[in-house]
Amino acid sequence: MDNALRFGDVLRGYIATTPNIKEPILTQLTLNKGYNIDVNLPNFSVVLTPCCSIGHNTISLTPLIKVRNTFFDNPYLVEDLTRINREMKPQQAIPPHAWNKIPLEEKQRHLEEGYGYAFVNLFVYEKNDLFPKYTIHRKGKNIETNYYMIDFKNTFKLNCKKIKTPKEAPLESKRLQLSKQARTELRDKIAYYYGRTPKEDMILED
Amino acid sequence: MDLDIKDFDYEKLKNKGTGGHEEPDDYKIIDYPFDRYQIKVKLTPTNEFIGIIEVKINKDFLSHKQKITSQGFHDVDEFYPE
Repeated sequence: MDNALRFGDVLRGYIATTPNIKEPILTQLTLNKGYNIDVNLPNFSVVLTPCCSIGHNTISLTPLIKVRNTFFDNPYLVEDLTRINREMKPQQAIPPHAWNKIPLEEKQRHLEEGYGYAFVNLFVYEKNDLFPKYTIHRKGKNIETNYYMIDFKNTFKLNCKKIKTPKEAPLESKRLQLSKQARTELRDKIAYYYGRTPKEDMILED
Repeated sequence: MDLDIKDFDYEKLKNKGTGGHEEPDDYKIIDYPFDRYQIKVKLTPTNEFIGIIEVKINKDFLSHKQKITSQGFHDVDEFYPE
């Protein structure tokens, strides 16, 4: 493990916060309606600040969370949940029982997509002894697993005075580091997640 | 009795054009997307071309080229219901 905080590292000891509002606070009246902030301490958090940007007393993190129980409906994913991190064929991305029911025209539309990401906002972490096991209940079965994942939508910023540079940082909080290949996969997928062009903007490119 | 001007063959020819004008009893009208346009085409029940009824701009904001462009990912959430 490198003696530095890196993109994709699994850390412990960082609180996560989520502010909650009913509507944007644009007037005194809406301010009076109140807001609240959820604070919790995830078992593990993942660094989403690019390596060269870590520092200046701040870092972007996302909590490590349990995988969805519905993933276990797809045998292709059950073999290796980290396949979610890479592009796949449409008939691999859709569970076989659902694929067989899709009308031919819709199936053709999916096939025309070719290789692509499924669950574009998710990235799965390989099983590790460090991660506690938990039980998935799915269609009458109990499945024990210790795959975990991150959701890019859960990213938050945290200030920490000890995070000055990637190397001048509380390295005692670092628990795991991605392999070079896995780190590349995370970078590629999150870049794709943020880099998609919406249809409304595509019309200007035509 | 004097013929009405519209009864003269010349007037009919001027307004209607050449070619046969038999109207089949059965026909169907289909919408045919063609690049930026939406064309209403009249066909016989056996898909023989009768004529073009209407040509209009396709107001769907995606062009034909944009529609056939892959979106680059598989939108599969509907296949994984809780």
